[in-house]
Amino acid sequence: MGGVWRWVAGWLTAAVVLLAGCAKGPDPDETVLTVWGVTVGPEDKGQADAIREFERRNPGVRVETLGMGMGGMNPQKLLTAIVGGTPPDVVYQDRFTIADWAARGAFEPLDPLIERDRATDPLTPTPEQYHAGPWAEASFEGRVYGIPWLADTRALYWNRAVFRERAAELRAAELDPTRPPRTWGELLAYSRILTDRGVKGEITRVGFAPLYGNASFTLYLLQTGAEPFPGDGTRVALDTPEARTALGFLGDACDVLGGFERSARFLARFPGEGDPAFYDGRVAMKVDGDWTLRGIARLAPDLDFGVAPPPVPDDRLAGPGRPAQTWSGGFAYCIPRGARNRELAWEFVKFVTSVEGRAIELRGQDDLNRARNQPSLPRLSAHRQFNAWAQREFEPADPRFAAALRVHLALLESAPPRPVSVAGRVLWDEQARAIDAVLRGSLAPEIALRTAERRVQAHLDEHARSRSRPPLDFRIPAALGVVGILAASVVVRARGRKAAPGPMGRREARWGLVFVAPWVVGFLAFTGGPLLASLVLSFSHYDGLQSPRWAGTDNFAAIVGADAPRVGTAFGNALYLAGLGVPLGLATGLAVALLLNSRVRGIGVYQALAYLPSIVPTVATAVLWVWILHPDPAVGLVNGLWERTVGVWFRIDPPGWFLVEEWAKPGLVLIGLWGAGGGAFLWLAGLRGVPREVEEAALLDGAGPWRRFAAVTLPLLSPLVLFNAVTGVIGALQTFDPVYVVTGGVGNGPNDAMLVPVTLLFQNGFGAFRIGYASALSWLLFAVVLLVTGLQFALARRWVYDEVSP
Amino acid sequence: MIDALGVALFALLAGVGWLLVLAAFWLVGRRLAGDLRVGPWRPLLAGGAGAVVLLGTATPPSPFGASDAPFLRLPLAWPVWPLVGWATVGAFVGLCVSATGWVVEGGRGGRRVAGWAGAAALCGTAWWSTGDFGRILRGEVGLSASGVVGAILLCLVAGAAGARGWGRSRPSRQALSHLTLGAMVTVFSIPVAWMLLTSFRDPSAPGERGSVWVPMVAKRHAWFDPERPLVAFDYRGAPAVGVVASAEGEEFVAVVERPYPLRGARLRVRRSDARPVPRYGAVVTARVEGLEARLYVRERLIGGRVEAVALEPEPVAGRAFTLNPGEFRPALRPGVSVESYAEALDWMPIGTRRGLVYLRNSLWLALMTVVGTLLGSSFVAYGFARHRFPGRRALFALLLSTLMLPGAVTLLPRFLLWRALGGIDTLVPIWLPSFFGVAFYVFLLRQFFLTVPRDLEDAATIDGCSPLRTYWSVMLPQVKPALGVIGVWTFMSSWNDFLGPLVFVSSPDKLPVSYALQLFHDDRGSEVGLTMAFATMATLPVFLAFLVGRRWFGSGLRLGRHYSR
Repeated sequence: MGGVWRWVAGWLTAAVVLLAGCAKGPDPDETVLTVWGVTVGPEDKGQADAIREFERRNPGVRVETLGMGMGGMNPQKLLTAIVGGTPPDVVYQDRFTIADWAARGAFEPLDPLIERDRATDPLTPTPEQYHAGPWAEASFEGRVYGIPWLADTRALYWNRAVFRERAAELRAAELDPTRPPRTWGELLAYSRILTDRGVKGEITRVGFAPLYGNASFTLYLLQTGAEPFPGDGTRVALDTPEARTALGFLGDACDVLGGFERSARFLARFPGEGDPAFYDGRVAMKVDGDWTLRGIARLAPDLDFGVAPPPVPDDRLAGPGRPAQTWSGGFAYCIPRGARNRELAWEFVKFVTSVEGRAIELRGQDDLNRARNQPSLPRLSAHRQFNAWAQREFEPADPRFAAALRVHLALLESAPPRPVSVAGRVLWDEQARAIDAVLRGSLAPEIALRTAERRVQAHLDEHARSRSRPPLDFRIPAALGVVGILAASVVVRARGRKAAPGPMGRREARWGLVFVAPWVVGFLAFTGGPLLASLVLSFSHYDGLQSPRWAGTDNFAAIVGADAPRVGTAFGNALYLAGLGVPLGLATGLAVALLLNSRVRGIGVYQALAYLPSIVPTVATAVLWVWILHPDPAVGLVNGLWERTVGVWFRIDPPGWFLVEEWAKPGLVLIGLWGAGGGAFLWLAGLRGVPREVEEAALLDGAGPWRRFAAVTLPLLSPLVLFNAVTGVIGALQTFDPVYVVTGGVGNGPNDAMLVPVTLLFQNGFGAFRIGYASALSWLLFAVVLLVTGLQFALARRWVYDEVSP
Repeated sequence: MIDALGVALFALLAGVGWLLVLAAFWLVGRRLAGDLRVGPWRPLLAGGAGAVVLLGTATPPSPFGASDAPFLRLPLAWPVWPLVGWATVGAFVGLCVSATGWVVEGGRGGRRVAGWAGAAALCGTAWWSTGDFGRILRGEVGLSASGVVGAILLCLVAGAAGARGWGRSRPSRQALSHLTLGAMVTVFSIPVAWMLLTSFRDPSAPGERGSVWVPMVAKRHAWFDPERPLVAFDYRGAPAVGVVASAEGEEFVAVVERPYPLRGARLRVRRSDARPVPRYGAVVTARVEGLEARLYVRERLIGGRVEAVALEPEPVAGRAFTLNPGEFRPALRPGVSVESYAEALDWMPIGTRRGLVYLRNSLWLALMTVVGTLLGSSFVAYGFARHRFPGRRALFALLLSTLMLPGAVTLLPRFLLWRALGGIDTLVPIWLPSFFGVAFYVFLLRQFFLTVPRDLEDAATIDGCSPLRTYWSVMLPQVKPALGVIGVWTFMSSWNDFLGPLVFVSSPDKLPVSYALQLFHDDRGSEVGLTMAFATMATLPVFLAFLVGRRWFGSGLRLGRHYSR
């Protein structure tokens, strides 16, 4: 016993020491106000000042702004926390998602609080103080759910130096090199001239990449005057002439660059802070938001750039009632339902959104900028008075920045928000997916748009329908479960009387039940019970907040109906990974084991080294391979080797791996193969189990290594092959971690190439809390696993060698 | 058109070259496996011819080797890739299977030969690839086409020599075994080596990119900036460094530069608590005003330009110059830099004590899971192995069938269950279920218990042991090796667990290392040195556990026999 427990005890001690080292007792007199989504990073010094001032005014309160600790706000995490009953007190939330959240009752309505404090507290926010767009965006069905804070608009950024450099060519094409393009047609003409190519036809500079920076399909769509949710907002219209116009422009803009994938590969991840590609002229024009000005001031203060309203469709430039030139977005402070310190949270929101609070913030930021010798750049606010005040107080001395801010502010006056709807986020996601498919050439525009339209409509319908459905009563299935357990125990008892006669037998049976009782309890609580619960849930609409409602077969109908293409893609991808990755992995593992089975001196070192890859944690492996498979041969190890060998002999371009649809899954398979050395240990165990006599008999009969392998080793190993194949396929069908890491948490990959069932389940279940739908999906996954495994066992009869029955 | 034809022709030729080389290897393998009908000259001839073709198709003077010839794009990678994958893996399996024919057991002396041969192969490949000793010594060895051909030739000669007369001696065949094993292990270790090297690279060295295999650090010059003096002080017990912004009497205001979470904050510091610290600038050499000068970088500008101050020679010393990229060379020396680690740790949110909290959470999780799995699984397995009770077969079948149930299927109900129990945003939902037995390990341990002779238990019962005591004092020690293996496996899988924390945990102070690494990657993934430093730190505890628990991997081999049967 000693060794194992010593080992465990060693870890225990280490952990306990660490625990003691990290333990910090909470201060009993202190109220902690948790604010999520606000990261007080290097550039947000003003925000920190405002928070400190709030703490000063409210003694005994400590504001914790760790947010998610790293990175920005993760919407999935927030919803999980609210549904899970552990929400923060205040969230700093993208306004555009508020409708979706408010519809589920995830946020506190703020109008009662506004009405209550309006007369007494001068800090209280009121609708009159705000720009209409942002205020409307933070409201839903007539109630206010968030107090808008920053407001941003998108504009065209152009690098004057690049324009000057190509002035002669621009003039030759009758384009003015001293001003930016104003219409889509002009934009394409400029882009054509400013785009440069190298000797192999690869891009060295793009004039204008239509989806770079903060440009999106939504921008072009709104510019055409499209209304995605016409009328009362219960219907969605996506497959419209306007949308096709916008899509056509996107396609043309990509064609100017030589295709979407080529430009995507050029634009993929320029290492460095800010936007180095725009700073050094590799991108001549982009559409981006006002926040990028800070980056320019800090990282490229000498950049000669200009900011102008984004170009609009050619026929929309003049004429009355022209549609929007750009849209506005931004964040708002919200209070989640169930916040522990609701009143304090409201005080906090009032303070930080007031002109007073924001002035403190702006002054602090100005201090920081002065110390760094940078211009102060007040971010645009949703608050009218504040904008006017900031414009007066903090107008940057540098004319470039002053002009840029003026352009952004002027755009804010007329910029609408993105359409406010419960399906706003779904619309955004579906549009992005449709555009990706169209630009990569895998779907025709009409089909992509119609598919997206159907899916958004399904979401709207589900929302509308779920309100009219009868509530789901959990008591019936629960009662059935209890009756089942009772019946089973009665049967067991009755049979026990028969099966275990005598006192000794009964004693043994009693102890046997005692020993297996933990597993039975665990099974009922964590496996069997949840399995049945998910079956019941799959027939319900349930978001974890409102009580579940009976859904009939809606969820299953959605899976085989509107969502069939996506679900099919996900399962297809998983089957690809299982069908290709598992056999290749098994073969590699077996081959490595064959080598490691040789009994030379020091084989232990080789075994340890071969095992090394499978020691590296899954997330670390994925992070590592993102770099090893980097498409740029100067960075990625594999592509570097490829360029100098395969590229030289066969003239084949190195693949784009995770950025390209066809190569994304092979990349995942490659990661799996690298870890196959870990599987080699199981194989090695099997090889050691092959009796020596049989090997030697074959050797004496004059069989070569191939013959011995095929006729002796492999048949004897076949039960192990079956075991590894079955577990491997079950594992592959559940792939999630590497995909999540490689795709940066989005989980789809180019054109859904890396979408797998568990991702789909996770996105629906924990990203949107469509628990019913996700449960239906999980049952589908279960069915597929059962089917595939059953198939494997059925086929196994033909090839698995069974020692017992000849 | 002509160009494309030429490229296709040369690709075809290269393919023939590769086939010749493969044939040569196959012949050597046959000969090594004891087929004496294959003479040693045939493989050498085939290999030589293949190498000549490969070199010929890869050398730039050939009209088709010119760099502006068109590149083919792989058509339809979907069907092509599986074929390529199968071909590569098939070739690898073939090599390994034939190796079983000529690898000999026992004997000594092969390792030294293999060591020398391996070193020679590495040097030769490096030479063929770069042809410049200076660059090799600086570690800038990237494989090139001619290097690959050279390596192939070396392997062939070694193989043929092994197959020829003196190859019948044990040491030389042993050496071949070691070389084969070494090559295989090298391929598998390269990514890990790359991770380590990259994490130890100097992020501030204005160096070239590409495969640099000897880590280099920039020589640095310490200097004090009179305009923006840098001071070090303590902030709430943690060291911090900042720039003095304004001074008022005994106090001054410092704008924090490090640690990262505080960067930009303005703190009041007492003069007596702060000490001045220098800034460090990379040393570069450049030609300024006609003189070869050494300078240090004072400021990095946009577009790769730097502002540098000359150190020597005398006429220019102390003056500042703006240098364009290409005009200066960084002064590098071999060495490792831990700056990436420092910065990665710096970046951790301040409440996490430089990531120590993540480590604590992961260790706690691993510890509870290991203890739970070992106790729970062995307890249940003993019941299934040695007690007859009604419904045993049915329950065991149920247990085995849960192996086929994907964990993701029950994820949502489990979330709702833990919400009802108040376990969200704690680590409990992740480790507690392991105390109820893990199906696969229950199965494994049952197989083990079945092999323990019954007499032991009978003796214990006669001595008056209760079943519990028999389980704990008699049976558990019998399956110690299996417990060791399961302990190590469980430790690794719990350290790797990502989906569990992703779903159940949201507070920053409850994150385990794996989740923290993913968030880090999302946030600063574009800085490769930092990412690799964090990844290395996340791997280190598992590596230590592996080193400590390695002997149980050996017993894992015995374990395998149990269930392959």
